[in-house]
Amino acid sequence: MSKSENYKALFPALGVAWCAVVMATYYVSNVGYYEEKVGVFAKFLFEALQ
Amino acid sequence: MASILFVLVFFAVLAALGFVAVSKFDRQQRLSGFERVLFSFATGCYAIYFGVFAIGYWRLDSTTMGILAGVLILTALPVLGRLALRDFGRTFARVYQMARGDRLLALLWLAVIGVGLSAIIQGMAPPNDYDSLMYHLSYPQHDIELGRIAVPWGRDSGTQTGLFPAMMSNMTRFALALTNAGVAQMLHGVFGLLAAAAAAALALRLKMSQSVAVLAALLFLSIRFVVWEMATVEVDIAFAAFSILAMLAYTLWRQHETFGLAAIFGLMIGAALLTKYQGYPFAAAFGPLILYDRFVGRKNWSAFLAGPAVAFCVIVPHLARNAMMTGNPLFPLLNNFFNPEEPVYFETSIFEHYGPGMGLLDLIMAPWNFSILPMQHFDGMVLGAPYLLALVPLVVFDLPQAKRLRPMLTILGVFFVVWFYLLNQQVRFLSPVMPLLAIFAAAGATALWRAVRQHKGLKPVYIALIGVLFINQSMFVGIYSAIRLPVALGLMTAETFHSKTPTMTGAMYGTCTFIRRNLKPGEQYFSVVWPHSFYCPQVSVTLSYFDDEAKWWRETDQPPEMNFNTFMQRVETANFRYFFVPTAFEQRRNDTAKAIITKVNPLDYRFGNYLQPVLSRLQPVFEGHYSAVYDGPAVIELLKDLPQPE
Repeated sequence: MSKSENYKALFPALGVAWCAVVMATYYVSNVGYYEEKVGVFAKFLFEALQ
Repeated sequence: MASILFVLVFFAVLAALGFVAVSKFDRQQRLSGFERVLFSFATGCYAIYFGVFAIGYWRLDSTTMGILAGVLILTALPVLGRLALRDFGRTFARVYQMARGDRLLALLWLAVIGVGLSAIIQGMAPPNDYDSLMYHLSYPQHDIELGRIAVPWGRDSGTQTGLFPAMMSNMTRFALALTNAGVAQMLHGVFGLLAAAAAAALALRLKMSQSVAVLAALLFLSIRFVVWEMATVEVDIAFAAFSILAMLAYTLWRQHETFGLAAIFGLMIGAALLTKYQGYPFAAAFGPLILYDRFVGRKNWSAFLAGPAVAFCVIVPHLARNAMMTGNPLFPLLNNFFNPEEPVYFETSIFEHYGPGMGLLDLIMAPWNFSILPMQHFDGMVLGAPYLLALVPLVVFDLPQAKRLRPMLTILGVFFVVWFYLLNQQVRFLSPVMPLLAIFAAAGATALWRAVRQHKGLKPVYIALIGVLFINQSMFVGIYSAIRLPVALGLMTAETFHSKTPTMTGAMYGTCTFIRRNLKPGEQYFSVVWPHSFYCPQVSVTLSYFDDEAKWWRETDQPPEMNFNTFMQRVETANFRYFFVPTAFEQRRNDTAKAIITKVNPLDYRFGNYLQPVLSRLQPVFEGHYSAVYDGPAVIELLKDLPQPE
């Protein structure tokens, strides 16, 4: 594989890695927010079903 | 059903009226049918703005607004058939044909239609958002109750928004005079669709595929604050619509350099300026590109001259009104410049609360921080899942595409720097560049898909990541439908809706509705509840300050004082039927957005030291979560018995 082909193959991996890093950091940083919202939504659903 | 019909007629009439002007400016037929419809509707909005502006200061009621609507409809009728046949028909036919042969495109269209229509219908839910209750809706409601447009100066001491640009508040006045708040919200929702459609149109103009264009529209509509604000009368979405249309007009002008396209660009910039004061930095963000095009690119003078000239002409009435009323055409902004002897407004709100710092690194890191750490560093989970941050940079995988986007990138960059350093750093204030970011994100997502689709290892990982983002954002979009559609469709009462749906410190629906139902004509009530909710009677209130004190904040930043005897005299003269006081407030600005309820200390509001000994001996006649209503005669009777405070 030539050097330019190597770079070309690297780009998609970089893109996917970027998306993964963004998402992983986001969920780790906002776990408290999602716990709170899931709790509120579960209560909302429970009341609606009742 | 009548509300939906009103919105459809509103759209058709304004599009027809705007079509007359847009056709004149585009004699060479440079615009596609789709673009012409978008510019026509946006231009037609001036008819409502100037109509209400011209009539409303004299008389604002169902009669005058009905006459205005009648005149607009009669003027639009001859054009309507021509416009519908020529542009709507061709556009829809072409879209349908393309979607039939492309499953992904059809799915994207279904998603756009689903999200868009859901947001429009959600507009029929009772108003529940803080800013609308505080001024976007309550100020126009004040004018309707008064019968003419007027600034409620006493209340404006807290918001200073009474003389803000009124493109959208005049829409709200028009809707409130003829129908109700639900229709006003639905009209604002139309601007979300307009912005999404304009994003798609710009993507198509930049030679992107129809799938990328529709994906851009979907990514814009799915932004959390977009789908939320579309069912409110807040103005960020309309601002986004006029802004992306200005970018589209400028892109078209760069391709064809006609005077007419420059004039349309000026009209869109003017509409943005008349929608929100942030329109001024947004307009300025075009400056470097216009200068580059004129002096480096050697393009003709039309955009350099005609665009700003047209924009200036349409904002003159607003500037003149403000100058006549306050001596400051941009009131309340830059008051230290125009009225050096008066207080400076909004000075403290800038740089406060948001953003981790003001250094260069903070500027560079801001997109990361407001996407990844929005609860910690910015104004909350305004965007939802970080799909813009994940997808926008991926556009570099398609270099030809990225190069075509470069001119718009300069506008984005300049506005972003101005937003970061000079404006209040609320993420929704980036609304004018959000449709553009949606285009970048759609192009980026597609570029990476093309790069990984032949790759056995990366393809499933990419699909999984996109899937997680899709599910997460669908939850944000879906939750608003779950909350607002039942009440919008009449499956839930407004009382139940307000009791279950949080808004910052409550909508005061119960307490305000109690006052509205029981206050007789000619009676007054006294309130120290701030902000003054849309649901309360707007004109018959004395809100903390009596009429002669109402403009105190124009002269000093120290609120006036009033001794007990004077207060008693005023209260007895007014013979207030009710006293309306706050009892608690809510804060959600923390890492989890969990509501923290704090009791109000009566000494924190005006006259609290006079009222507190009396209210502690009385039972409220009505009490909500955050406020209480007391019987006026009982309060006045006990006030008389109080020993006079030192």
